[in-house]
Amino acid sequence: MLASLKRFFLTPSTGEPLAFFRIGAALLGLVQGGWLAGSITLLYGSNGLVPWSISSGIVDAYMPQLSWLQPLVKVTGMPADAWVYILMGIYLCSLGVLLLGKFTRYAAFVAWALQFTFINTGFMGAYGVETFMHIALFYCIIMPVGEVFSWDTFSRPTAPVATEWNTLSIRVLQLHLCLVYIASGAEKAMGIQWWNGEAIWQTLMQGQFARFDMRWMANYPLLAKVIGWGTLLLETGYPFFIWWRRTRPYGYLAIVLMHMGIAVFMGLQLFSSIMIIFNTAAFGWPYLQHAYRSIVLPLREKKRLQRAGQLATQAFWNHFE
Amino acid sequence: MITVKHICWTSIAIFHLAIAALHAAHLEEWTTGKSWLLKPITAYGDYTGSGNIFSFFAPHIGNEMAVVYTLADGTHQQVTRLESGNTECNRRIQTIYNFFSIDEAQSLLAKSCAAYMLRQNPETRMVRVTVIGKQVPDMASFRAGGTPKWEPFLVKDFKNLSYAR
Repeated sequence: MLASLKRFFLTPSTGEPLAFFRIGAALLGLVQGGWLAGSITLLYGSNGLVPWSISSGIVDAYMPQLSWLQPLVKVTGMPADAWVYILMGIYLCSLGVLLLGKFTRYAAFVAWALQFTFINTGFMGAYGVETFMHIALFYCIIMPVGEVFSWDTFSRPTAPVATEWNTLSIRVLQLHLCLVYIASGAEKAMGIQWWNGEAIWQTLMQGQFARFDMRWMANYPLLAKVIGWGTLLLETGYPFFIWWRRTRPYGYLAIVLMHMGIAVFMGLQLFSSIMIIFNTAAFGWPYLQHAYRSIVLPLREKKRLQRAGQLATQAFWNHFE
Repeated sequence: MITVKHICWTSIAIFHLAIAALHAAHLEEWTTGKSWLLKPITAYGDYTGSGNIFSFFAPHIGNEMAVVYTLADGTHQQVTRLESGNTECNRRIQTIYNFFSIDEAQSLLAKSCAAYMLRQNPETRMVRVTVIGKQVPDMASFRAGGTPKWEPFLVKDFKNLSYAR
């Protein structure tokens, strides 16, 4: 039992997937911050759409929130919203530092604390992307995400070291994702709309999600049903097909395609991106690496050979002129 | 060889995942009151991200909500919405509006939306908050000629008190 636990959790592996996780999460946080930069006071301001006086009354007192800034506002005399902008600036800087992999754990801690403060204050407007960003930033504090592809290791020209801590971290990511999908799938399966296809129809007919005119789908209820059943199958079956090595590449591809579909047809690009980042770090890294080696590297090699050929031809003609 | 450090970190990982699993299974709904044990577990879940439920679009799809604001300054009136060209911001506004589907939240949220609009438009004397819900017919009704309908279900007027004095 102990030996199998050790084999499962502690067989050494390298940290590239975790580095990908760090870079992906930090980059996504920066994109999200930039996207919302013009709406910060509306979403998180002291007198925003949901003011601090309301959010502080609903959120548990032990949760960090922007209303905790009020004593600072009184002491400094600076407007509360100016402090919100300052904190957002610090948050984005910490994400930048995390992206580079400099002082990784400290940067992750600052980013996690500030993101948590923002989502507690703006909890009424928060959705899936905030949930998963919070999980990702917490994992960036605890997990060895800065061991590879980071500023801290540029000066060390050694190959990535395989450690048991990388494997333990990746196992946590994998098991957490399995929990997420099985829970999400089970909750969907409890509603009739996912079985008869109405969930797909209703979602695509809502202005907040619709990116295309999907009224034609009413004439093809079987298609909506198939998509609904497909979603249920993908989510509830996730732990099984992603864990079995033979089905894993197809399962990974299917789940990535599902999230890309959500991004394209429902406009949830940030949510889809963070789910793809989680899936790739947990299960998809070897396939991404394989695709890089079998597609990108040969293309680069071909380009280099072409360039060498051109230079050789040029040298030949220069010699005889 | 397994060291104490290995055992400690593996146990922490298993504990963390167990908390995530309990929350995903709606741990907080298992009892009516908050027991002494539930509080620290909830706090741990909140801080570490292991305290989430994952009921995205489940078990059914809720109606879409929108809010229309009518601003009046004594001589003119203007109908407006808060949404802009920023889709990510609109998504969050929409998520906030979804709370109108909770009866207990309606009054406070309407007041909060009105207060925001009055602060943004200080010359406004009165704001009417109209919450409308989109009823999408099912596929069979749509084929039979039914069309999506926006129906108002909450209308509230708020006065700018600085003009009332």
